[in-house]
Amino acid sequence: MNTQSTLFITAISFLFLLASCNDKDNKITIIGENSSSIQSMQALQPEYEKSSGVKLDFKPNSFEDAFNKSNQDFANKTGLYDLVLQYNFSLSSFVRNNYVYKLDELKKESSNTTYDFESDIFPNVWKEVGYYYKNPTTPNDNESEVISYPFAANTMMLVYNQDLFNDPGQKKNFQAKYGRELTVPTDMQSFKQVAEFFTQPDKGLKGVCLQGSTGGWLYYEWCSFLQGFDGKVLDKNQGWQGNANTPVLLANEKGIAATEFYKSLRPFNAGNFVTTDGVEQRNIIKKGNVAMGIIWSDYSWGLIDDGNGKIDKRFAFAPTPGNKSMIAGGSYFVNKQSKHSKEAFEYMTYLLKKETQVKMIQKGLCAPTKSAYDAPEAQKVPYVPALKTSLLRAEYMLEAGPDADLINNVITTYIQKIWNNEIGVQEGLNAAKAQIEKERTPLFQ
Amino acid sequence: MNLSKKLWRILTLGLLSVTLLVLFPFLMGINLSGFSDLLSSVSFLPTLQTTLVNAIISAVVLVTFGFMGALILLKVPSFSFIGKNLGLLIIPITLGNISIAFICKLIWGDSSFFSGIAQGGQFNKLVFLLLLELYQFGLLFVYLFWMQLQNINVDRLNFAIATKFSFYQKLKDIYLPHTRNLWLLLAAIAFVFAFYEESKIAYLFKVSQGTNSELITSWLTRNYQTNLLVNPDFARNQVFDASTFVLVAAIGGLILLFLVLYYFIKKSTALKLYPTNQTIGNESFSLKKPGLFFGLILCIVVILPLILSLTKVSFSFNFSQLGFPLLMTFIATFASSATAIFFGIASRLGWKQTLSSFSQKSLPFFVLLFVLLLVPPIVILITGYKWMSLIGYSSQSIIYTIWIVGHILLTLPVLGSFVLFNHFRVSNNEIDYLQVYKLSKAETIRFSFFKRFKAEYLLLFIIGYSFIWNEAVLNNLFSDYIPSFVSGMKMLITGRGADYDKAFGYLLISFIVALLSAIIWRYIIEKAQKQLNTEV
Repeated sequence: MNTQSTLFITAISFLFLLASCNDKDNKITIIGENSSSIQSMQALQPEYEKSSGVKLDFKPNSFEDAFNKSNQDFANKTGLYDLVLQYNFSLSSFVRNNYVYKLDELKKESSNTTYDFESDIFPNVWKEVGYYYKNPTTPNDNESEVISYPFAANTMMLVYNQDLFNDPGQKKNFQAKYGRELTVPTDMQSFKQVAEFFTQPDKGLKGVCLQGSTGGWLYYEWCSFLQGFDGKVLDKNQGWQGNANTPVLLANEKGIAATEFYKSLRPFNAGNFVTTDGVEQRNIIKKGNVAMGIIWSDYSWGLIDDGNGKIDKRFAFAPTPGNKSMIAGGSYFVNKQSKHSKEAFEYMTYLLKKETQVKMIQKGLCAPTKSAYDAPEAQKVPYVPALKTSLLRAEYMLEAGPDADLINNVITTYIQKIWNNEIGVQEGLNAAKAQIEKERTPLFQ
Repeated sequence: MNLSKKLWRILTLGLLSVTLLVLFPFLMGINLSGFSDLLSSVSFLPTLQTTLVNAIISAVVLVTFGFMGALILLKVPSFSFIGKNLGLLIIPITLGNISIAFICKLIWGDSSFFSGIAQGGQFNKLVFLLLLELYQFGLLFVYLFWMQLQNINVDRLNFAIATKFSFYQKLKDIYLPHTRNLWLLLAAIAFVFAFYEESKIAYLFKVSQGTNSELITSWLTRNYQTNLLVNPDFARNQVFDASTFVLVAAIGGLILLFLVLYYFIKKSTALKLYPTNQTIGNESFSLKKPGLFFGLILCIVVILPLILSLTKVSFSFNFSQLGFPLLMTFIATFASSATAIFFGIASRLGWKQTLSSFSQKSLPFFVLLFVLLLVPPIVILITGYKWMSLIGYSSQSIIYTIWIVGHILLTLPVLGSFVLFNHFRVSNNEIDYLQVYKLSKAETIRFSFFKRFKAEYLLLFIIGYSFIWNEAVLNNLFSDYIPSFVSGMKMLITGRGADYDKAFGYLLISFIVALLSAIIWRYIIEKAQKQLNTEV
């Protein structure tokens, strides 16, 4: 064997020897989507490790990968991840399949005795993202229990370009055209009016940028408009509720009105509707040629943060038009196969303390606790006041049962067809309703 | 059958069996009861049909483009400036799916041209996808065909010149027969990658049922995600049922493509029909100048998108995250290439007659070899999780070892068939001759394979490196332990953590690797040329 080969084999052996030295420390492994939520946790990692002596091992992944990996870890009982950050639509599956500890079980293990922060969590958000049926085998809407604490409270907000809204020329023209002052829209009709006004092809301006792509983007945004028209997809009170017989309301007059309104925004829309997801919408809005967008709260940080600690002050935020906002977000789930469930629970309680939440808001978290938003440091973040207002008035809107993804896909399919004039509004919604009714039944068996 | 041949066969079949063992959890999980639901699904069969037709058309177009391109480059000497730099054509394939999609988005994402395609129908999107595949695979195919044509026996060419063969005669009697095996190999590879294409079309066009743009990989992934909300076992059973159907369709499609191409080339080369008796002089059909010009254009086409994309973002390098995976990829490629070479030698010596070329007789062997590639990627991912739950994640060294072994098995179909294709050049007479003289196995391997195919093995290593670096399934499975380029890129160009500037920094590292590969390849070719000149 020549010297080069010997060196090569020695180097590889050394690498494997190093790798075989197991890390047997007290370590919590955390998996979640790579987002401002997990990034805000990572920002406080040194502080927590120093104070607790517990190591934190973050595994940020794309949404799809985090979703698959956590599900496979649960199903195969490999216990790789102690703490899983997942969204509300995973809650039902995790509880029904007995994959995660309930909060009461964790509290019994812990030496903590006070949980003051619980009264500070937005109750509507907690009820939507952290509760489930007490007895999943015989579900009763009046009997639910708390499963987990929320890690983030998300909603959709209206973002608008202040440079355009404050432009004296635009203000004057708006006044002349509509006989009223140019203001940030608070209802659907004024939203459409402002979108129409700012669509100025000669200046390369568009009124709005909508998210029309698959992957949940269109579905969630359309649901925000449906909520503005006081409509619902299914007849229930929480996203995680429901059974195979829950009535589908999608194609009623409210659904039709919301869809017709949504489609009427087409002439004012920037970008390629069907390829526009949250990232593309953000990129389009950042160019400064669009007046408004309906944006996810956890995408807001990425819109205003330039990556070097400076805030882009062109953009301002308000609650979505109408008198309601939608609830999204997710919870901390502690794996039943975890060997560090106690440490994971104590870490969760650290994260939910007010002082921690304030620090995390400044790193992009949409905090699930109310009082943190009132801290002066938090108020400096441009979207915080609008976010708190939105969360206080937020209600269930998005599906979170075992049929959630099916409903998302079917609605996306038909709204895209309606947008592209391949099918009429009434006909499209009826077809979507029929498909949902047919295909959701097996998912409840 | 002599003992030696038996041994080679046992070793080959053993390796193939281990490769197919990966699929054990899949085979055990198939439950045919779900087939009726599948067939009644509104979208399953139309999506599968579109995917199959698209894959067959893509394969035929790509391989024809490769051959035609090589014919235009025919007169470009390998030692000319253009000839030496044609190695740049391997760069697109080393960049991989996700990088090419990202570059495309940066360059054209804001254009009205792209907007037209995105808002247009399925046909427009698939044609655009084909153009991207021409860049990614087509340019490599041009290069491989060109290299193959450069190896035509000089006596044959001289005979053709002396007897004043027309271009048509040369095409029919020399070029096509000489490249028949390469046609079939490259068509099979193009078919597989087109059949399971997802990254490019999903990222660029956000494929959906609503826009009628889904291909079968997206269909399977979407349904798997939907069913995961019931529970992972239900989701797995459903996707295994659908994947069985898809696998059968893919095998059928590959066999059909293989037979159509095989008979087309066979019939074309056997034709006694010559449309004109007039021979066209070589002077009047000299392709040297157009060839050099075309070669130059191709080199520019390779590099231009990368330069254009550089102007679209500000970026910075971050080697710290990718240094370790680069090293691990090197180790895995070394092991995978060695295994593929061993497999290629063992199968050539074990089935001397059957594996002397791509033919009807060798078809079952190649289909068996390609089975792993024809299984939907989501099935490989789920079986990967299943295997890991059995083996366990007890230590890092076990994880690293499994990762390497996984890559050896997953790359064997492509790398093994590439090696086998090259080993067709070891004639049966040569093998018989060496056996008559009772040369030891080690000597046979050294003289007939190692010495002769040094350059081909290096190219194998370069292609293997890019396959492992850009592999999406296994790398994704282990990305929490060995950072994956594809998973990292996906995270940086989609979702809540998207950051195009960071993504471009990531991409540049991959580009540097691709460029280094091209430079090393050029150096080796130049060295071989000098050695040849010295010998002459």
